[in-house]
Amino acid sequence: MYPAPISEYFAPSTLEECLDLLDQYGNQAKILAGGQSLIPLLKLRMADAPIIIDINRVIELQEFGEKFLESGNRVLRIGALTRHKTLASHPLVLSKYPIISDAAKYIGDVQIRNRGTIGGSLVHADPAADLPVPILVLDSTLRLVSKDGERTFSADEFFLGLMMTVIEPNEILAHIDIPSPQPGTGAAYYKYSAVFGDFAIISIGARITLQDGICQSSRIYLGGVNPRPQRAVETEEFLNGKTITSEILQKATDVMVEEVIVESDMRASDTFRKVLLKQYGFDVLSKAVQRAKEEQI
Amino acid sequence: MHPLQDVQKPGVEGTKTIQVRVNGQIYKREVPIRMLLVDFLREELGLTGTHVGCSVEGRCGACTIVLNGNNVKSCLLLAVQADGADILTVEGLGEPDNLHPIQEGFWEKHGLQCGYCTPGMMMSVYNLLKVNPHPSVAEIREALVGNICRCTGYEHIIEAVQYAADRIAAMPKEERDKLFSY
Amino acid sequence: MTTVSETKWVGRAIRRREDPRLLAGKGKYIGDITLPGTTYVHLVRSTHAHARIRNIDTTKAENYPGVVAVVTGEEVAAAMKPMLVPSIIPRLGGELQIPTVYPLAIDKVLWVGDPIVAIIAENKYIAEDAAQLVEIEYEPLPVLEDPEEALKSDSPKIHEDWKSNVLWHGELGDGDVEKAFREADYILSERFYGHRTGCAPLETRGAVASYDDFTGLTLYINSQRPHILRMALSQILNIPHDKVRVIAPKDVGGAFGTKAPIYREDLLICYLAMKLKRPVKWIENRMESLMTIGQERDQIHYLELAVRKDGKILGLRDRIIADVGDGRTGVYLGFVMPWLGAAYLTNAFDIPNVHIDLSCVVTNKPCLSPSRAFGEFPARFAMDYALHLVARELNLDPRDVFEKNIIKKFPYVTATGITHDSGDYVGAFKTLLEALDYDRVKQEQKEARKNGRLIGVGFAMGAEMSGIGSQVFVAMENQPGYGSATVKIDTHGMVQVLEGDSPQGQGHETTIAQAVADELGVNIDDIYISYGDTFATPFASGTLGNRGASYTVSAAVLACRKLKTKIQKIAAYLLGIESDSEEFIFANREVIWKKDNSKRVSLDDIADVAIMAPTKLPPGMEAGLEATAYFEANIASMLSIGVHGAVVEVNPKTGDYKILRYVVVDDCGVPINPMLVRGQVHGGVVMGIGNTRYEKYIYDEAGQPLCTTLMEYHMPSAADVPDIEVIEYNVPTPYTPLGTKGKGEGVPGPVPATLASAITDAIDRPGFKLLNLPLTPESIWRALNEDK
Repeated sequence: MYPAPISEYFAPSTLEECLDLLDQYGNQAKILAGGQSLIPLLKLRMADAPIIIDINRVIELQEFGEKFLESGNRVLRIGALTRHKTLASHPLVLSKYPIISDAAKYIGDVQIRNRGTIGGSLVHADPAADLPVPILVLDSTLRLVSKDGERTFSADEFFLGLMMTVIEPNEILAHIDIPSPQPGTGAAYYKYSAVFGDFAIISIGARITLQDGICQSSRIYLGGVNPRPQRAVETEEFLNGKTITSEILQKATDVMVEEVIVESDMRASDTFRKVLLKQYGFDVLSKAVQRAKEEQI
Repeated sequence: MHPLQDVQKPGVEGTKTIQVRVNGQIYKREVPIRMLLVDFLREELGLTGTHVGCSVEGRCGACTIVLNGNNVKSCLLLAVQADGADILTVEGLGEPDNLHPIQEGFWEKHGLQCGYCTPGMMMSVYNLLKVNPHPSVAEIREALVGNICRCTGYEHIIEAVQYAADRIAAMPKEERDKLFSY
Repeated sequence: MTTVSETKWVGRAIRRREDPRLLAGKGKYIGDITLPGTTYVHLVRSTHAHARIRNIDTTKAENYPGVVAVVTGEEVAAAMKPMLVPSIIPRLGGELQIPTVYPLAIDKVLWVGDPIVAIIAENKYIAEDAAQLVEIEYEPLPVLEDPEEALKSDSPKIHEDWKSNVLWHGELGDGDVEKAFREADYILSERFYGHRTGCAPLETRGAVASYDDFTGLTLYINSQRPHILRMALSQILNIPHDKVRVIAPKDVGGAFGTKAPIYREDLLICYLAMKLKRPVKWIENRMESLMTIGQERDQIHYLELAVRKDGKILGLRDRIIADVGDGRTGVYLGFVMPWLGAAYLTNAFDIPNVHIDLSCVVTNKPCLSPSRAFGEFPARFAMDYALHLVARELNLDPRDVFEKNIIKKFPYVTATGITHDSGDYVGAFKTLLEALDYDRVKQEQKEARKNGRLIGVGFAMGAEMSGIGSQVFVAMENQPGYGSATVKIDTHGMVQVLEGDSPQGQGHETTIAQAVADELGVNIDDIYISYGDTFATPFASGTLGNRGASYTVSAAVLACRKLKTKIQKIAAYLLGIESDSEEFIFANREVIWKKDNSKRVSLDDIADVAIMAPTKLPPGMEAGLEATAYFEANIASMLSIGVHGAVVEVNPKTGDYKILRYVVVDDCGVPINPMLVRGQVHGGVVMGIGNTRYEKYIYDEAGQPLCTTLMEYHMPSAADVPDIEVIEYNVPTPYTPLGTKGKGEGVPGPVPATLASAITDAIDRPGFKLLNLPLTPESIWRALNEDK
């Protein structure tokens, strides 16, 4: 299983060069980041890439750290080339943004985490992948750049459907900004898979902001259930304004199971996915609440 | 996914000259852009210790090598991506008469049967012991998720890793560092 | 039980001699073999499960730069006989319908993956490019995926010239079954299903063939049975036997049965090399592999047990329906596995009255190919789990039900004709219960239940074949069951052993050397083992069915003993002693006279005389130091027992379960190398766990395979499986020279019943039962919620 002939390979070291190449080759070119999804697609000849633009040397895509925006808001900026390994183990992520390491730790295996990038994962937009859910839950913004300029999307706007995003052929995802949380915010993620490190049968991500034990706001996304990670709006509405107790979280889980639209596939039936959501939804919500008390998202 | 999907028709083949350091030796070769790194190692350089088991998505890990200090799957990289890279393959780990403690562990504890997964498996063990000299059984199991073994049931592989870890821990620091120079 | 005190090497857990090369990356596997001028093959395979081929257009592919040839079915068929020649058709009685098959499909495809066109190109990348350019027009035909549907008389026929879709039908058994059922206090009657799964090895199949008019055909192939393949190639291709040389590489990346058949690709690659007069190389990719080989199990059992109220099984009836796929893979035809599953169904139990009706049905799937626990995996599940269900129904401790039914007297011949040679099955079973601390676990189970935790304990056993002697094998597969080996002492006093089998990770270079070192009194490093080349090794039926430690090692021992007679005569002559030939000890590379230790000759000197200076031999003695022996056990078959036990914890809300302990008590007669035996057991259990829980070949209604990469066919990783504890309980068999028996082949067999019974024990709810494999969390959740 080998890729079809590739006529050109570019490995630009600056974003400007990269954008020039994208502008010139657009549709014909494929961006190669970690390659953990692209190379298999090339081998299966399900992706056509007469031209490869290898972005692994582009410095501007490797930013990682907290940053103040012009607006004065603080964000965690994650360059698109940031490897899963960093997200799984960086002290900043582990201490302040553990929902991201919750997800990154169980992506594939060590080798995949050493190579795979957040940009690649988000642009590939596999609904059963690990990173889209926490990125959605954290109300992140994604910055797309091209020769024509920049476009910024909320994560929710970015994902369109099964392996589809708003990204245009001449664009590249530059980075993801995760806003600093409101005080009293916690978040958590859990994946259930058939074997260790496999894609999700279901995944659940939740963010909850508490003040005096009352849920001020919440964000819940479910992955692996249908072609695009699904937001559990009714569950959020149910939680908002309520004093959080174990009983409320249990009821919220029921609302979540009720509202989610699940599909069947060879990994699990729709019914069983709901069973898993019911089992693990409560745990994820509880963990988010616990982290809210420790101010970890 | 559908096994035999309609696919793109082939286009023009491009090539590129690359220079790679493999097991301490520098190689310069012109390669087709589409050539997978694993084929470059096996067929261009004759380093056939790195194996191919899953052909597509890298799940089996038999092609695992250490590239610029990280264990990665050489079937999920194009050879051209390795231009300028420093690579360790099983052939660079140790010779039959001067085995690396990881190889010794696999030998002593019968950590291999058919031996097909073993080179890739040892590359992952290398990466594990480099960063975690005293892994627990659970940590060993998690570190090897990306390397499927069909023969051993993993039990003796875990003993092999523990044996290697103990051997290495008993060495002076300089020697230890030499063992993990990649 | 047994200890080996008089021998030096046998019984020792020494490091393997094959390992240094494998650890250094210097193993030589089929993928590493490339001859000058090699061309590469890629196969275009059917995208339909059942269709007529209307047209094949290869023009564009032929014109693609770098393509050497494009070959279709008719051309290949014209050059050979239909592949299923009589010598590779099993003769197991019953009614057999034999399909016609050639390497490539001609006018019809029978499953997704059926090979249609071969592209041969200058490199493997180009071959795959050109494959994309082949255009095939299909006329889809109705697809049969369900064997019970395929059995119906109005079902469309997959092989149009057959009278039904039944490839083989027959009955097995003995005794008065009607009477047993009349006298039963309780009759258990259930439908058990063991899904399609198997033993995909990490290395896929591969072959390199070359041909010239003088030496003929040379085929390098990672086959388990090079001699059988050579014989078949000669017959099918109509080439003199001396012009066909099959060579299995030194190293093969696992096989587990899947590399035992004679596959269509084997013949195709040979034909292409003959046509092109250039070497041809084919390495199966994983997608082809998952679509083509390693699929086994797939049996439905309508099992009935006639039971006395104390748990004694009086009789057994079973109607088995096996889905054998297209049934066109040589030697086994997809039906030998279910046949053996039926023959071994009664396992380690004394059930005198048995009637089994077996139908092997063709469907639009790939042919079953042998996989470790050959045919027995679903059968063990049905039988052993049924005993647990009997215990639950009769309110008996399953321990007592097992004990009551386990075979106690040896040799024992089952109602289906299988001979159990020797052993202590009850002792092994009791040892397992002790190791599990069965009573304490049952107590802990009660405590845990109070805290809402569901713990369960289960067990099962497997009497696995340890090679099959000629008296069975000749009838079964038209092939001898003997082990064969040649032992030669060379000019330097080194010992070369040549075996006709061809291992794939079993460690023959170590275990055979251990046995030979003891026989000849040499160091293990003085011995080298050669195998794989059919031009150099004695005929043998291959490395399969646990033959190694029982048959092949025994042949090597017998060859040594033949040689020792001659060596002693030479020694006596050189020493000027009047001696019978059995008066010498072989130790430290010397031949020492028992009556006077100072009278000794080194093996080197004897080798020198026998080979280099035959003038010094006793008058009239033939020069040379070599002997070939064929070992045949003086019994129809030998079996070795393994008893498995597990403690599990189940989450009743999701059906998920965790294996807290997995213990195996194992008997392999005398273990030649206990470390290697443990390795076989570990690997077999984990493969069994994979097959029981994670691995399933899934097909949709149109016959499309859904598991075509390892992302869908989930082989477990280290993080998915528990520690495996192994306890030796060895009873030497009196039927081999060293008391050894093979081990490893059948190990996965007892796993599903072990886990199913442990989960059932944890749930402990009347009516709860797990009748269908695999045991996924979802299937358990369903079973839990269906009986409410």
